[in-house]
Amino acid sequence: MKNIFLLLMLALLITAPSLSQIDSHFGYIDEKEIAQFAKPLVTSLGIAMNTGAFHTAHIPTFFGFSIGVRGMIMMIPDNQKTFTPAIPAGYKSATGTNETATFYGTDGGVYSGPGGFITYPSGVNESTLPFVFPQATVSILGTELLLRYVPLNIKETKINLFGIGLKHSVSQYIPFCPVDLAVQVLYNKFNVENLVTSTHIAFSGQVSKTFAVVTAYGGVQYESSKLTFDYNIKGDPTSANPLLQTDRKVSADVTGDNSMRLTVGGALSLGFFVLNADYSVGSQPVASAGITFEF
Amino acid sequence: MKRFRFLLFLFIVPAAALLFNGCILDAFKNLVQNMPIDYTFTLSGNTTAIPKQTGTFTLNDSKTYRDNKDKVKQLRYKAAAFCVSSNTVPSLQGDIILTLKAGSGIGATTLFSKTLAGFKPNDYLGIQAKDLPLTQTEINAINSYLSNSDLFSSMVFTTELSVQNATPANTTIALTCFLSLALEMTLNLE
Repeated sequence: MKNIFLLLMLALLITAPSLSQIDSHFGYIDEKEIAQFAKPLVTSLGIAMNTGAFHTAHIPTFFGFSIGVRGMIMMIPDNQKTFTPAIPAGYKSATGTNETATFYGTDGGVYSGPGGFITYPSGVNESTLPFVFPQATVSILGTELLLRYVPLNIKETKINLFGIGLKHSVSQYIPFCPVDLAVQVLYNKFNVENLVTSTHIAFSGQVSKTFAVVTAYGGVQYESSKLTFDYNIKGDPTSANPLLQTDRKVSADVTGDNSMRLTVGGALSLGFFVLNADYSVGSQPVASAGITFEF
Repeated sequence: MKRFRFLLFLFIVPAAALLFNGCILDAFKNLVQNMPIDYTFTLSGNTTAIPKQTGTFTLNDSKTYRDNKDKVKQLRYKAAAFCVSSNTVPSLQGDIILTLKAGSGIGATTLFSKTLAGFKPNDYLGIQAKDLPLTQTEINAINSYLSNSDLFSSMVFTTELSVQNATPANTTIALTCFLSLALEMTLNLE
């Protein structure tokens, strides 16, 4: 059991410092273009924060408690790997393509014009982003409180995730309801000190049906994500982009491309443990799995 | 209890493996950035005999390179362009011969040489850049010169610019123009 816990902590520690390195990726893109460049990453974070909040719509009518871990992997569609930058008049692509990489893309664009070159950073060339975090719930009288909290201090950078959710059973008001129904509101904050401040909100309607030890569940969720980047532009007087010619600190708000998602999944109860896995279709598909100790 | 532990491992190990597979970590540890580096020519004199301009530049002339010199692990050619900053004779026209060499002095080897026949600076002044399409052989020559990361700090490039058949004849000119190179720089962020 000790080994499992160690493994989970290592998994958490791996994802978080990677995110703390994104400052280096943003230093060569100005505050007007950062929204386009970073939007898929913000979307991923939003999807991660708003995933794994339920594996059943059932809420104990008297008292319940659970603690568990959620792991997920976001899949980045190809159309979120490039964008067309707003280059000034007189500039054109020097490499044959008008598009440049987003955070997840490959080649950064190079555009020639009267002032020389405007250049863009390449992306990380990835099609997936994994994320893992713990969560706990306490329920009483058909209402469930969900809490997530991950405080990390890595290389003197504080990274923390805090989430809170409230879920209420709807089916308890419907006599002889054949399925469990619930609604949930979820609020998450994910911060990387001096770099990222993000808030993520989700509202969902959930349905589930339990057959012995197996539960089938699904849900529809509306969600939104907003992230503020505080980063340092590494200016170069040679750049033809006036916004990238001097060193300066900038702040930019980026809204994720999150809106609606549909989730289907299944859970297996093994005594006090529940294993679950689900798949959500939305702006970025996400496969999620969890293990929960509950009673 | 053994059964539970087995199930836990069955579930967690694949998830953890996704994180440990190294790909996502490698992606975050490297940064690929396109870096512009320019060399400016200032030509002045009479169109009957405009002196040839020769100069040298190093990677250290780029602030982007200087900011990251300890992390640069690879440089590759991306694009080249010729731009005009100022021109005192709007009707100026001539054949411009632009050469880039690896190294300096008599040992310098030509990486590329381009002739811009009938070049009219005012067609480009504040309007556009003149892209310099290179052949694969020329690109290979530049990348070969850039291939030794141990020598980045001491690499020297020599540029030459000469103007022939300039018109209007017997006219005093002052022309400022520059060769711009875009290099792809791979940084190790570890």
